[in-house]
Amino acid sequence: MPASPEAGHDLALQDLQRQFVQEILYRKSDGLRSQVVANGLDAERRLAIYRTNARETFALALEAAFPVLLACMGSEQFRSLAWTYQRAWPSPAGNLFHVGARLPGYLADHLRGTEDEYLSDVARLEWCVQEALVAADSSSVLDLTGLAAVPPDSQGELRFVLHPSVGLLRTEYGVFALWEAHQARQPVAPALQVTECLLVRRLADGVQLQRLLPLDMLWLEALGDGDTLAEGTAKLPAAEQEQLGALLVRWVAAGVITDFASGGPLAGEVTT
Amino acid sequence: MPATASRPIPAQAGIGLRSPHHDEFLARRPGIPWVEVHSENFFADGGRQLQVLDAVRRDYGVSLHGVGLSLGGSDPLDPEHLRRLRRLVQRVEPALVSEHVCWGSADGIFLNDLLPMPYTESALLHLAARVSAVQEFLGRQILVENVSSYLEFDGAEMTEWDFLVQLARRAGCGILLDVNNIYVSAENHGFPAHNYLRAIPAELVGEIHLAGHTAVDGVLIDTHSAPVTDAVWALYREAVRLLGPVPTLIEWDAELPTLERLLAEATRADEQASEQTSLAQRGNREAAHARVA
Repeated sequence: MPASPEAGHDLALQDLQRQFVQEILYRKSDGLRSQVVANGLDAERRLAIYRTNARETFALALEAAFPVLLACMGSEQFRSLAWTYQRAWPSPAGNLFHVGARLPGYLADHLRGTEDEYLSDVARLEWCVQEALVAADSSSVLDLTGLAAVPPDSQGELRFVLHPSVGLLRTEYGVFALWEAHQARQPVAPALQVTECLLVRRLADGVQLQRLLPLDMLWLEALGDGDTLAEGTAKLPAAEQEQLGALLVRWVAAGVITDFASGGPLAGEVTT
Repeated sequence: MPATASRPIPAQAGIGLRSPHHDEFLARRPGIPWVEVHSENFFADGGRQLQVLDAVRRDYGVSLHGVGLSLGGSDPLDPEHLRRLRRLVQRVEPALVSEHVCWGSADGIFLNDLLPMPYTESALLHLAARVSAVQEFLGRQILVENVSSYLEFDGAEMTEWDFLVQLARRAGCGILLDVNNIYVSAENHGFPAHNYLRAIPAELVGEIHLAGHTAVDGVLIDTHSAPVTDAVWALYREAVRLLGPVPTLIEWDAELPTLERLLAEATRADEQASEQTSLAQRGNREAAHARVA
């Protein structure tokens, strides 16, 4: 990192900028207006331009990241949400991508027990899609011959790598249908209360969403958490463990499992 | 990872390449020499955006234009932002890298806007030190752009253009001169845009930006949502007369027009620049003849 000149080199600048941010987001500043040259337009109106810009930029970034949520809420309600959320969780970075990271949790906190509770699951799904879009590329294809050559007594120690864009999501509402309707430019209706296990991942032509059976979900979650094959298998119901081979073949063929390694934890392994 | 640098950027017009135009741009391969993209839109670890940029850089000059570094901020420079910018610079090997003379955050809260600096000696020192630090980290010179502003802070110790020139001289960076921003700020604050232009040494300018603005309740807002206005074209012609031909970018970010329309604006910029360059050359020849006579 560069030997950056840090805050405190110019205390007047630091104070001015703190006041400015507080004024734009919370209308709280001591004496900022007196530091603004009026010149034909009062300080309040000049600051209001920056407030409008900050709100607009933030809201547009959220709209781009959460198009299904926007469709569910309507523009006016979404804009109102964007402003209250921005004040609660202002942008943490110069890269606008990050502004949506806390929205699912914010909605879960504020909508729990209401008829709009499903919206937090919609937001969780859409954030998962956003993360899939920017995840690392991987052209790795699991070497089945190499896998078959692992001695039986070492197989339990194998760890598997999921494609970096893979996200696994458990929802309490049926947001898959809602997402599909939006993709097909159909009207969206409130999601029904039904547990879903979803796989989100990026393919060459965009993000793919897929419903998973509970068994597949359980196993992929275990692998994503870095469990060894033995640890992951132990999490499956005993009656289902004989399906292990089929599970492995299915998700290797689908490109969801892209590599394996024996021994300790994988470097940079995916967590879900 | 690409093996060669992106193509050089000539003193001609390019366009801001935005994602709604990506597919059409790659399919048509328009005959412009260069494009500019917003750096932060390519901070991803992988995915389609980066693949598009890899394809574009093979045939076009690329300029990386940042909007989120908060060069003039009092918060420490964001190490993650810098790391991702350096990684992108190493991948794209762009002909130009630029940021803004502004700040964007305080106490870790970002407004994601290009906020005005107070034009004081201490703010200049602070900004120059940070620009130097960024250039050292990236291992290359950057250009810094003047922003549109809607307020000025009391206690200014110099003009905006003196601040900009001093910054470039002290930090050893170049200037990305946004002619629309000069016009917008001049109208909003009541200073002559010509004075600004005439104060900028040609050797410091590495790029010019042109964009549209919008009048709202008597204030000009730098919206990038409209064609370049006639007044800004006039100022651009004056800039070319004063600075000579400079790589010139058409920026259009909101209410994005067709790619065709954007390219037509770039053609217009080229035509206006050639016209001014020809006029200047004819003027020089006539002056030489007059001296001989």
